[in-house]
Amino acid sequence: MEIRCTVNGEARAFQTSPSERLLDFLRRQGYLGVKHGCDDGTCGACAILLDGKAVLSCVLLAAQVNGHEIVTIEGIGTPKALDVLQRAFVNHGAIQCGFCTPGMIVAARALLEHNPNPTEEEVREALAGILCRCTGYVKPVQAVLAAARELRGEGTVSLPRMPQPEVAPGEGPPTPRPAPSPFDIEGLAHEPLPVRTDVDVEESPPWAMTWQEGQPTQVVGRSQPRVDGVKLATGRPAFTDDLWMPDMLYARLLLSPHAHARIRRIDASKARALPGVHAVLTCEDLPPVRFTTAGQSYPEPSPADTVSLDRKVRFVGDRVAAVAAESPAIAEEALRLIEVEYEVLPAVLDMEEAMRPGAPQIHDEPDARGIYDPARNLAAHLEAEAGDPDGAFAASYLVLEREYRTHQVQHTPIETHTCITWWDEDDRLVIRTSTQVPFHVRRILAPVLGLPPRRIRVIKPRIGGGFGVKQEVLIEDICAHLTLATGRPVRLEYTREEEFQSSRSRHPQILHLKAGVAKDGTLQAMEMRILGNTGAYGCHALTVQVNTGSKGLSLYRCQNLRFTMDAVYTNLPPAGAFRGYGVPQGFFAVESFMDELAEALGMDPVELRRRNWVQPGDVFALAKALGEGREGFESPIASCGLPECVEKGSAAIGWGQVRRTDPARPHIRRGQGMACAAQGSGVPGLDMGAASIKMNDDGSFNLLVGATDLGTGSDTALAQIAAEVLGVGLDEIIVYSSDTDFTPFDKGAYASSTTYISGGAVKKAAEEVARQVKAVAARMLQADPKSLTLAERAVWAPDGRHVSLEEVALHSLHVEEQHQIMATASHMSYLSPPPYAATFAEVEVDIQTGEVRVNRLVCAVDCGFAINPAAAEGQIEGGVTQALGYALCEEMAYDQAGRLINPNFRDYHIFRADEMPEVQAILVPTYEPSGPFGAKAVAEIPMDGVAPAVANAIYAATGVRLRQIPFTPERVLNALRRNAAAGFS
Amino acid sequence: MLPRFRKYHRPASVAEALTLLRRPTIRTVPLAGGTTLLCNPDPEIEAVVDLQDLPLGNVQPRDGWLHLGAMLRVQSLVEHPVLRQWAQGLVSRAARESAPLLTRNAATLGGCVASGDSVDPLLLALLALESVVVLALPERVERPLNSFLDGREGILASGVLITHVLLPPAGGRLGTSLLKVARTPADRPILNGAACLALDETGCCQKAVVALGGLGPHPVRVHTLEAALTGANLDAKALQKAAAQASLPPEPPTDARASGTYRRKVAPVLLERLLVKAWQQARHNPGQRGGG
Repeated sequence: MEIRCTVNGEARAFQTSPSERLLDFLRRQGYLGVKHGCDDGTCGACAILLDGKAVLSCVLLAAQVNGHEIVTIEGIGTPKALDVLQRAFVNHGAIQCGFCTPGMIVAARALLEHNPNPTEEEVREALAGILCRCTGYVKPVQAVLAAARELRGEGTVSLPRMPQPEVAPGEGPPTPRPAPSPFDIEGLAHEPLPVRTDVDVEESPPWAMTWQEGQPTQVVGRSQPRVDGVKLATGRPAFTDDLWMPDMLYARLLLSPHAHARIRRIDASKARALPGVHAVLTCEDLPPVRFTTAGQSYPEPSPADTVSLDRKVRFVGDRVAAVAAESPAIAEEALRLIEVEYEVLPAVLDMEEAMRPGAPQIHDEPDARGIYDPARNLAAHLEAEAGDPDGAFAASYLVLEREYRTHQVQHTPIETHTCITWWDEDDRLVIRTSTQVPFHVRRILAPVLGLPPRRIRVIKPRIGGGFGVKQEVLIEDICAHLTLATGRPVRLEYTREEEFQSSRSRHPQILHLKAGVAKDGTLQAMEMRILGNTGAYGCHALTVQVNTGSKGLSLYRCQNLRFTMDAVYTNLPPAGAFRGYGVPQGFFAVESFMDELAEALGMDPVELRRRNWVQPGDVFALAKALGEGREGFESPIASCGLPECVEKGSAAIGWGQVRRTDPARPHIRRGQGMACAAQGSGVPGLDMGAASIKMNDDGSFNLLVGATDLGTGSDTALAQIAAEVLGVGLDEIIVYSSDTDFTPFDKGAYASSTTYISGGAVKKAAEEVARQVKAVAARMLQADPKSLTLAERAVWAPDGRHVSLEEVALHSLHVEEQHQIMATASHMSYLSPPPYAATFAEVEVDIQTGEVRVNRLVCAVDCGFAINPAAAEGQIEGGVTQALGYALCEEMAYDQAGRLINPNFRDYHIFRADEMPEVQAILVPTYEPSGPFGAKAVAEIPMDGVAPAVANAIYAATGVRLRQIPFTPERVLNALRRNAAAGFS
Repeated sequence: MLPRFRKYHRPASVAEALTLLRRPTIRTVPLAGGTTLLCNPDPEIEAVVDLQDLPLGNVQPRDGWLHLGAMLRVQSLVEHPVLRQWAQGLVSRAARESAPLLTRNAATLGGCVASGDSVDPLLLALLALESVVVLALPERVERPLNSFLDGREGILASGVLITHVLLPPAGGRLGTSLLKVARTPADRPILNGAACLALDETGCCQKAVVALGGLGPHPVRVHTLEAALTGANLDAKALQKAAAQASLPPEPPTDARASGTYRRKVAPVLLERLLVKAWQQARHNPGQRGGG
């Protein structure tokens, strides 16, 4: 049918079908800034303006807009003509992954059209229908308010007040002078050149010796706008699905309706006969190559317990078959034609039941490798001990034991898993995928596909959020198998329901803690026993649980430690990596426990922590025993800002200044709670990142990194490091990341490692390039290269003579001793300096309904030297928002058959802009000598402290100790009623 | 996915729409805003009748009543100046709570009524005000909303259109309340409710209407409570007692948010708060004419 409408000011006729959704129609027409994140109008990524009002295009038919006017993000502004809102989002650090950004800007545009002077509440209401999993909404709200001010003529959209580096004012670079540019053709100056990466780096200078604490900086330590901000704010086609290829087929998966079953017979003949179907794959079509989906370094510590399509299904949502067809509708129809006869097996959903004798064995396949004890459903087991815990317990003044339980939650990136595969012109398989681990994907998939790694190229475009769920080889294998089967490009995208039930989640755990203390509160011994539920497959089973212990037991000084861990299979959707990687579970237990311990001792809980927390020079006694699937490394603490985190966080929240009761609302109780946490900066002795930097004719630089920016802004942070060393602005660094053909190796985005590890590689490479630049400039200036400095796009001699970087580049490439100035460097570390955090929460509890309302959250983080303070703040704001959902409402819920009953945003609630409490992020600067410019990690630690801080606040308010998350009204009310007999109200 | 969907219609009159909806050979459903129909579509749908061109988007006071067209967008219920005043703005407030703005810009009043969503605050507010649903069969038929919800599926399956919702006069010493119990401020409610109390000059309860959501497949009126309160002299203790003794659905549902047991335990608490809030508002209401 034909419809006529105006899109972005252009009135024209379009062809559509009666059933085509407006979202699909617009994307088919090339308006790719309209994003797909759900199919039920709950995520907001598909927002557009319809006759000036913001609406959701996934719940509109294209036919409905016949005769109407549509504006998409492409019609609001372009990179050459940015709208004030787009500029505001870029300048205010309001963009992280950028997947929801077009929707937010569209919604904000509608608001400002009719309300030029909105309140913050009104801005939050306007943005409420657009879910953001990255930012915590703080900076997007600030951006909209700033844009409104500019539109009212009350100033321009400039950077908000951002924390700047606390570095000593020094000499600084020479006064800038205009450097003569040989390029006078507009646009030519920024054209990148072809890439080479084969430069020897033997002569690179010693690591971390060229910048000392306190030296002034020009680029790092400043809240620079993101290098990809304009692209994301204008909705440019940057994400995996923003690519259309001729002859592309659409894949769909047939998923198991049973929690545990064998496939007795599968007949795909009718599906294969359906016109438009090009391939149907079942377990009878693919070789059973066992692998782990966990994207980890070689040799993978997770068990090889998965095949692409198995003869047994182990959870509701497990894969049964895959179809590639000429349209999604045909693929969907084909799924209905596949006949499957199941032998339904007894299922076990409870992790304690799964370990008991007689429980159904979930992995009975003989070819699985690396399972600790398949007969007992044990994916992994580990025991470690230091000192003499039993002796210390016996000698302690007080011994306390408690058990805590955590639950299963989903990452819910707004962009679901998406992959496109094709054969390129050289007969190599290209995998364009939303992954955090492109190099692991290539290595792990090669044997699964029967291809050598050299015939596989993995490209990671922009990712719409990951948080660990994309540290997996989750859909790439099936998509690639379908390309192998058809020879055609194939696209596979999870629906939101599939993302919930068939991707990965956070490991639920039962944590048993025991501590012995002296009378003065000094810890004498600690023991942690964990049972973790890894679900149907053992991806990250060992390492997540180990990380719970290695971080949870390392925050406080104690030489007598014991840790035991079991990770057990059940017939639930698999767990995996999730921001924090076991540590949020651990600190929920440890930091709740510390408050309980303090009460048992009659001590102030902050004082108990202060007496025991780690200090510089301390070494974790279990560091060697709790490595990443291998022996770990002792890592003496060099920087620790935890005392200052507690001090600043206390001041910000007004610690101790809350009134417990409210005469106007007698059913309300108020309280404050706090929790400390430590994370890591990469996996010591294992994680490696590499970077290449190449100088161009105009003095700009290509920075090629394997590091994977999953929305955190790591491309920007890495570019800042390079720019700082090379004496140029951020716009002189052209970043290209995460392409196994064109960038050097990086293990990927996980374990809070990118700034610390990959940043170290960038700094090394930049220092070597700087050395080469100086060598050329020294010849040109006839000066000692050691006397030269790089600043303001030039090389300067002490006497003020200088040559521009353009002149150096042209000289080296064309004039004398011609060579390419470039370098490649790798970086790894045997250290993993912990960032530290203190999180404070103020809550209200309704003692009649059990409702908990968090009114304020403060999170003070020592992340060393913040390379980009706005981005670091954004990580904290977004992290605590996720953590708030973890504490209060998010929970994957199942029926008795193991079916997920809330696989959508309507029933699985994540926090919206209009219900967020006041969130304050505080950066506590320290200097980590092993990190680039003193930096440590920041990405994961905001997840760790919210749940225990809220638990402790609920206790302060009501006297009820909650040892299980989330703190739902029902759980709180039940606890209140149980406690009523104690007379505490 | 709508594998059988092949026809889209946009009629200009109610009569034409009804003709299309009543065709026996092609499964046809009305399409209002789309926010409910398209978020979880019935795969058997073969055709839709888009109602956007029907003249059903007005707010009209008539004989003390307020006639609301079924195609009014929910956001226009939030913004309309008459509704902001009508019954202390109960409908306007409820509409605002019903969904995020982007959904409210598309969702319609008729769609809200047709969905019968158990915890839609807008539906609860309409129930508390004893609204009347106007149906085109094609002849005009008025059904109390409460009765419509009881027979909703059968009525809608017979190929009718909801054309209007009528709000009764809301003058006098009226008090209204709208409350919920939820995991977070914006989460879908575990329980919610709306209440409307009218007092005479002596403080005696002339009328009490209370609707609760979350206790069954659609919102319910608490008739025994309403009867107990009507004609009574109210005070806080009387309201507390009435709430505690209210007869509620015996087996509320269990879902991902809470168990039926929890809902049963907390419903009296919510009831009491609804009553107290509405009563306090009514006591301080000097009595206004019309919709005030």
